[in-house]
Amino acid sequence: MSGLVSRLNSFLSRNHKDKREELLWKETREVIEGYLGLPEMHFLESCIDCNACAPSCPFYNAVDKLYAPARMANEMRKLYKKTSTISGKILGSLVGAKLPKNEDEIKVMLDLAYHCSNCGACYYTCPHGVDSGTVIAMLRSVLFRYGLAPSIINLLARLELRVIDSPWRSLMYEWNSVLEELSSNHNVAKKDEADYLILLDIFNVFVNRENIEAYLEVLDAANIKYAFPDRPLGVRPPLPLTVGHYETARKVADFVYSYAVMNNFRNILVLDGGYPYNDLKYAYTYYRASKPKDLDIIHVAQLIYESYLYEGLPAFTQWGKATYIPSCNIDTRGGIGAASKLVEITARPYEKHLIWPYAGVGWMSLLCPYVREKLSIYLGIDLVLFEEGVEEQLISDMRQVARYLAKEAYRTSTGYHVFGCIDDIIVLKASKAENVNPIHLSQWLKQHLLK
Amino acid sequence: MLSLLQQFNPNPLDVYSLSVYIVFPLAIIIFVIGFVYRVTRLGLALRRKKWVAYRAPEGILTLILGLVNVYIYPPLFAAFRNRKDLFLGLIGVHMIGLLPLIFLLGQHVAFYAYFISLYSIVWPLAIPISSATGSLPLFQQFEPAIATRPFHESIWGPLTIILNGDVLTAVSLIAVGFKLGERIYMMIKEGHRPSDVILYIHLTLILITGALAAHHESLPFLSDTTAYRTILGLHITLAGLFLALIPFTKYWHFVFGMFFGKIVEWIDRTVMRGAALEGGRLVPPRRKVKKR
Repeated sequence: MSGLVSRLNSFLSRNHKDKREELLWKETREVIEGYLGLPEMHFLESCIDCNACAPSCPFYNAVDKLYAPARMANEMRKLYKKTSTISGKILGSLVGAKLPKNEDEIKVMLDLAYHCSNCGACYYTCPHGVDSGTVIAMLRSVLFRYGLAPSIINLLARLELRVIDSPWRSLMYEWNSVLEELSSNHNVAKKDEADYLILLDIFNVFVNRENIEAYLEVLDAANIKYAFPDRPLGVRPPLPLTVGHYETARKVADFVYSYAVMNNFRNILVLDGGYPYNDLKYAYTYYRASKPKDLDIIHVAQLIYESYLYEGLPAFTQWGKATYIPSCNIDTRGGIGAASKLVEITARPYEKHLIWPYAGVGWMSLLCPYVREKLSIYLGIDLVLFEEGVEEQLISDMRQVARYLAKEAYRTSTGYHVFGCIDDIIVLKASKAENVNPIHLSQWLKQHLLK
Repeated sequence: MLSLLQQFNPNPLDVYSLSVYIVFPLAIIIFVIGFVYRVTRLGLALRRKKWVAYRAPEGILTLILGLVNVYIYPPLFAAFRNRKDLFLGLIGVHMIGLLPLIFLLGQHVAFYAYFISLYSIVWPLAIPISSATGSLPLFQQFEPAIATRPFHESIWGPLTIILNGDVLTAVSLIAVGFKLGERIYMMIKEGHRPSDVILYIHLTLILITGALAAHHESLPFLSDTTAYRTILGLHITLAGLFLALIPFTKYWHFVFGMFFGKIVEWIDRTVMRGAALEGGRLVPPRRKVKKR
């Protein structure tokens, strides 16, 4: 029976028009066979295109109605149906199963695939529990295998492998000098005495240092014993996941886990806004990294909340007006509610929920000129825009998203807007958004917990 | 087969007889096979890959609230951000539209109860074809008692002004018509799949033939028995096709997809990731730090 099915399958999958079609077919099948589980099958097959998720997407609201999550994810569904379902193979485009006819259609696919920050808002607002963000991530993986990805993200993702494999001398010199400075200012424990290994990477040390220091001060005050790694654990691990390069992402994540295990740590403390937290703690099953069972990934907001909780929480209500803008990969995908508990919520409950989606620029901040300049200095590589069409457009659209975000945040409240994620603040500043007073959660905690 | 049909009707090959005794039972069989097929596929996919990592949820209350939240949040969000789809999609097509029409319309209850007698327990909730009359002409020949069922004494009371076949059909036609127009626009503008347009046309035809059959007494061109049996047979045939198509098309969402999808989301978000509700005040357990 299985032989018959396989013969039928091979019959239906033959006769590709050209090499391009054959390659897309092959890459799609590889992604589907390698990474399709029950939830992914549900995400691929259950969308009814009601577009209920659309108003939750920052790109749909701020840039173009074309960027509805279901619409973007449908590009992957077309490939899936054509290569992996009986109805798709027989009925073709009647049921929305088709491969792109030419390079222009593939470029449209690329444009749609990267107008998603994978913030997870569409997952929460879908009436059927379909996570379009995950489907779009699968599309990126297919396109990456086909040879398409934004050059800068792709370059940084490849550099990450080099950084963990053999960091070069100039980078280590800069790294050591920053870490020495940090160690002299904070109570850094020795590795064998520390309870937590702080996930320090190039992005956090060289771009986000101000906020990292603020977090360290709060951790010092709470008597938490932590240690630094003696080498960078990546650029922003596991960055290759952003372009869907699962094999490299697995190597990076395995390196981070094994570094912690070899140095006898059971806890990795993530100070970043969320992507590394979610990608190392939960998403590792998607790209099959081998996280040890007794190794926990903890977010700093959760740890600070718990630490102060048992010593008596300070009166948050006396801290002044502020609205917490949930950071997508802490709140939606990471499932940490603690971050929001550290800020007095001045918005009304339903409004608070409605601002969920807007903190979703994530990895796209890597395209910002400010971040590129900083990273270029320390990595010793010019991070210039190679593909002006795709990347310039992305940056311009991202700024529109930021301005929209600022408008929504202002609508919700007029006081401070506390962000758990540096990416949002970077993009807000880059877009010169008005009416919003962004402050990072670490600075907020430093101001109020340590006074 | 022909002799079997002749037991019920002297003219066994008319559309009505075929639809009731051939098409509909066949549709039920296809539906069951399709249902098993799709559930089995999902079951096989479950074996293929690990789910996301497990983190202990913050108590039983979080689990319960998380389950409520996954169902409540989308309509709540739509109420503030997507009113067009809330009114035309959720309310128009589903709540004050197709769902009560399919499951509670008096004629339908009688029809289902004919095949599955247990379905007759729904009778107290049945709704009439119009607010002016509770008559069920089609079923007078089978169950005379139904014809005199006083709908004004039904559980719905004054709500019958809205909850009646005519109003529900009108609302459904408007909502489905809107969706059909939207899909045609999407098909032309974005190259959306044509199958959606076909499905909405199919749904519109079911509604129109159903409304015509229900009002055949007042329509001159349907007043003779043959015409009436033809339009009703067409309605049942189209409905049978609808039933058979459910497991293989987007209709699947209201039978299985919605309930299953939300449970998947709940397991993913609340059970596996231990997500506390936004702004919740649940106290997490004290963290124990161990060295290797």
